[in-house]
Amino acid sequence: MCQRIIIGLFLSLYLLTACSVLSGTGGPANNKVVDEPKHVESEVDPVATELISQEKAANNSVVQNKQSDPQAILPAPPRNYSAAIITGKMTSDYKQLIAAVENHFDGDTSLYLLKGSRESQQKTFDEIQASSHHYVMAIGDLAATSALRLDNKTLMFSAVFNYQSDGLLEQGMQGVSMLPNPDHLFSLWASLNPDLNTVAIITGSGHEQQISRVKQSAAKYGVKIIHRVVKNDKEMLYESELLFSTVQGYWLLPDHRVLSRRSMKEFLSRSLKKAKQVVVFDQQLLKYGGLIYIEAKPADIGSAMVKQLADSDSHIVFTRETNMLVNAGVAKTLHLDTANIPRNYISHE
Amino acid sequence: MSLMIKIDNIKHRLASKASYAGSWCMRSVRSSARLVRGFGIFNRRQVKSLASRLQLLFLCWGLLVYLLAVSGFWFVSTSVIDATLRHQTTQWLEKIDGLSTPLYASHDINEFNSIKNYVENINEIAYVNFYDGNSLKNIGSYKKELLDAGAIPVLDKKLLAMKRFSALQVGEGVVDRSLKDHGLLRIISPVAIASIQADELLDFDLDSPEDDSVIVIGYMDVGIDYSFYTASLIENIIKGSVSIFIIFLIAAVIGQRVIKNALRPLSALREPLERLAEGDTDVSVKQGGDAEIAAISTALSSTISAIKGRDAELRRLADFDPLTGLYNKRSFSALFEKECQRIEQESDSGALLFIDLDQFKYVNDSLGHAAGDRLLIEVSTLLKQRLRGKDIVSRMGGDEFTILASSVDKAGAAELAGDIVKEIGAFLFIEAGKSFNIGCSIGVALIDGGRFSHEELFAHADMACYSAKSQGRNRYHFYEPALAEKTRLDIGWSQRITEALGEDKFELHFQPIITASSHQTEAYEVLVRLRDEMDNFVLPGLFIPVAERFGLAAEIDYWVIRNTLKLIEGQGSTLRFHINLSEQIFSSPEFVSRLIKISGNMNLYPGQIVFELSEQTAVLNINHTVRRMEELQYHGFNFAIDKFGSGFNSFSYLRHMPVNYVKVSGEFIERMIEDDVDKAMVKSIVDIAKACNKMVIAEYVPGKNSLNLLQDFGVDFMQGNYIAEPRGVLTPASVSPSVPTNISSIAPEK
Repeated sequence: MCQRIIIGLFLSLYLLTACSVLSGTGGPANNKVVDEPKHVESEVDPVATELISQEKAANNSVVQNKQSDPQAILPAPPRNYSAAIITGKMTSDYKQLIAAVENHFDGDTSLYLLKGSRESQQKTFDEIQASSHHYVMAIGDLAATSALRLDNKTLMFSAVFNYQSDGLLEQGMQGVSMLPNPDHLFSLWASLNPDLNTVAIITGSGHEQQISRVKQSAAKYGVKIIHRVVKNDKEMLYESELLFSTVQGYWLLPDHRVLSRRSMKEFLSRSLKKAKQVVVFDQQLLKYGGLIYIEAKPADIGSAMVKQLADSDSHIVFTRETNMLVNAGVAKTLHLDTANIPRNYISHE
Repeated sequence: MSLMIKIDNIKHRLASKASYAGSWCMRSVRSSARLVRGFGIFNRRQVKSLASRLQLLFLCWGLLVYLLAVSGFWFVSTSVIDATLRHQTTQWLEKIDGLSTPLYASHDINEFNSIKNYVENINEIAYVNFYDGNSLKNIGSYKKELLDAGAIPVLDKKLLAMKRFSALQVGEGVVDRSLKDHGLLRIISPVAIASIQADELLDFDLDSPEDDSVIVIGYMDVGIDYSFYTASLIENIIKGSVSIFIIFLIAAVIGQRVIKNALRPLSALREPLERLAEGDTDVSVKQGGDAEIAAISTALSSTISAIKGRDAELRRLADFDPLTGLYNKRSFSALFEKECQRIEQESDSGALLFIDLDQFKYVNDSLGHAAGDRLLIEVSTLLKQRLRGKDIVSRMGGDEFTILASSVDKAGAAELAGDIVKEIGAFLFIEAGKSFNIGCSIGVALIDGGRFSHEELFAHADMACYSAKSQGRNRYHFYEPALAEKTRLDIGWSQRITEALGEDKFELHFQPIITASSHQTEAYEVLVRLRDEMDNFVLPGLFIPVAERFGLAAEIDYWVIRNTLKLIEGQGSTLRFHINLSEQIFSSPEFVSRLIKISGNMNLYPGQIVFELSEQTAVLNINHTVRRMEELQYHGFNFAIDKFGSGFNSFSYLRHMPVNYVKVSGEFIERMIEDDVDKAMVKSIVDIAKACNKMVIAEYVPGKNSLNLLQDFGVDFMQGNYIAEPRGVLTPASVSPSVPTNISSIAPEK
């Protein structure tokens, strides 16, 4: 009888795993939305594995370049080409990013700010289309999705977290992921909590590439990533509650589709009450209960964008440099030892 | 999910329950009132007692406090319930909203089980319905078993089209009052999802939720049943009210006893107050009770004591003479009447002594009232010392005293009266360095057998006293029936004098006074006459003594003065007029002012008036006489000493007396021809008067020899029937100097 039960359990696990594999099939061009809120974890996601291999190639070059002199190894973009920089907002991060692009790009650049009505935005694109700019660097989701209408331009995006769900890569755009370097995060997190073993990530659909990279990195530190795909903030809260008993912490990624201001506050509040460690993408969330704040450095993203122009083979690249900060107050509340953390990573209480 | 739920309908329902509770309270109050009426507190037919009023006050106060307490309790309770329900409902809806996530994600009815399991444990949730946001299709439903399915409304677009629903925000609930008749509170809340704008994630304000993109994906329709709370609240209030009512009853019974005990000392004051109101001051007030009542008792005791004291004083004033402390006339009369009855009943005997002091008037007039009062006090002390214990002495007024001697016969009464006469006669009143023998006259009336009334006995004693006075004073006299007639005559004379004064029945007669040298009439002596019923003249010797005894002499003198002055003014006479003054008018304090008032209104020369004062009157109080004479002389009047020489001290006084004339006593003049001593007396008087620069008048000149001799002695003026009899009418001729007819043939000596 016990043997039957054990066999049944193994069969169930096998079938479940098979279903997961089938639902995640499609590679970078197949960004199938996961409907079920109770998404299975993607520990053996083949798509993710493939993406990681691509990413590795890109990152290896970056790492190698970083380690030696990236400008000397990567081919520089043609000097007589000019670039148009488009953005929907002029936030401080975007400004830093734009400044980095302008700094590293040899040719002329023109900055276009998308604002006003659709007509005015269309006029802007018409102007870009008619211009001699060979490169178009879209910063932000609005700029990236809007830039798809341009023809005969080399399109580059950054500061777009949902690039997979937006189908940017499939439509020929190259880009720089805004996912911060997970190695840095888990290195820091593991130092803060040596017993860290299970972390949940709840996002919307279409983040397989980035989740794969995260899992790969987490595995180095013995941390298991449980990824849940939800459709809205309500499901995100619900799912997070279901995971309270399973995980030690959450990494809150900036998927705007499943995040609302209220849900973030509530999620952080509930998490803190449940003594869960939460990594947040915005520094202001620390005061609501976030433990670690991490983001890719805007300047690094800008630099990577310029380098990406010369590498038409790589669709997406990941940056290396990050900004990180540990919330000392929450760490104290959660009884985490910050002694091994560099002082510049610790926020003032 | 923090839902802000409007709880107006809850309040409305609680208010309806409150009105029920209020009506129950009023029924309780009415029951209490009936109960209290049973105690007689509200019985209008009876006069309310203070205890009842206090108890009613306490009861009303207690009811007021109770109503305030219940109202406050109701208000606080409903407020607490309101707040609690608001909080609880918010929590429930948040929880249900969270539990509905898989339901909305899958629209699988099986996902509703978790919600159902949750709400089944909440008694207050009557039903829950979940609707799809677009189609309003019911995707999950729960209701309590006992709830009528017809009571659960269906959410439709018409309801959602209403203004309050169209304005509904995520995170809010709207109360629908359509179910209040079913005792339910319906709350409809949207189920919504929200998301941050795509480009905002790297730069967003967490405190601006309105910037989120919100999509309503469904609606929650929840029915809340709060009847449990209101029923529980009302039940508790009823239980509490019953307890309070019982406590009230116990407190009322105890309070009644406490108030009655507290007010018992006050009630005890009622009986003495009623007795006091009826005039009975012989009451005592029990002290005690609380401070306020003790103060009232003390004040009442003080008042009673004061009233007693005042009563005693009034009785003393009513029954006793305030000066001497003896019984007064009123109380003595009452005692005398009783004694007369006793004597009659017991066939006993007694005596009434009527005492009149002989020299009191002299002391009083000469030394003043204060000295007179002291004399009366000393005499009364003397009398009290002399009396036996059962005898009664009283002061009847003035210098008259009475003694009621019990159980004495005539001999005993005589002994008593004799002793009193003897003791008062021996008594020496010393005042202002002078000593006075007072003496008294006592009339004694024996009381035996009830033959006379007590008034008659009083009259008998009075008449006997009068008789004693008439017989020379300083003696006692028993009443004799023969005395009655004389006394009645005197009393008749006093009445006739009073009548004559009132009706102007006196007449003036004038006797000329001639000069010794020319025999011409220089003055008239004014004489008063009274006609009897037979129109005959009554000589002054008959009515003047009666007038003096009855105090009427001064009024006769005023009549004479007034009419003489009128006559002089009317006749235009330049002669002098000699007017006799009695001792009563001369010693009267108001004499001078009254005389000035009479003469001031007339056009005459005061020097024409010569007041004649008998030597005896003049020397009674020589100092007073001198002051009074000087006072009148200041106003222009002249004085003559009448009957000069009849006393032995006259000569020594004459030097100091400011008189203008000296009238030699007529008794010497009448006998001077036959008696050498009288002749020598007349000559001496004339010589002394001359030496004192006084003019001399000789009266009662009996004949020619006397006239001549008087002329020889140097007498200035003469008068007498020999020279001219008094005449009743003065003619214009007679008011100018002329020789009287009687002596016109006698040539005056040159």
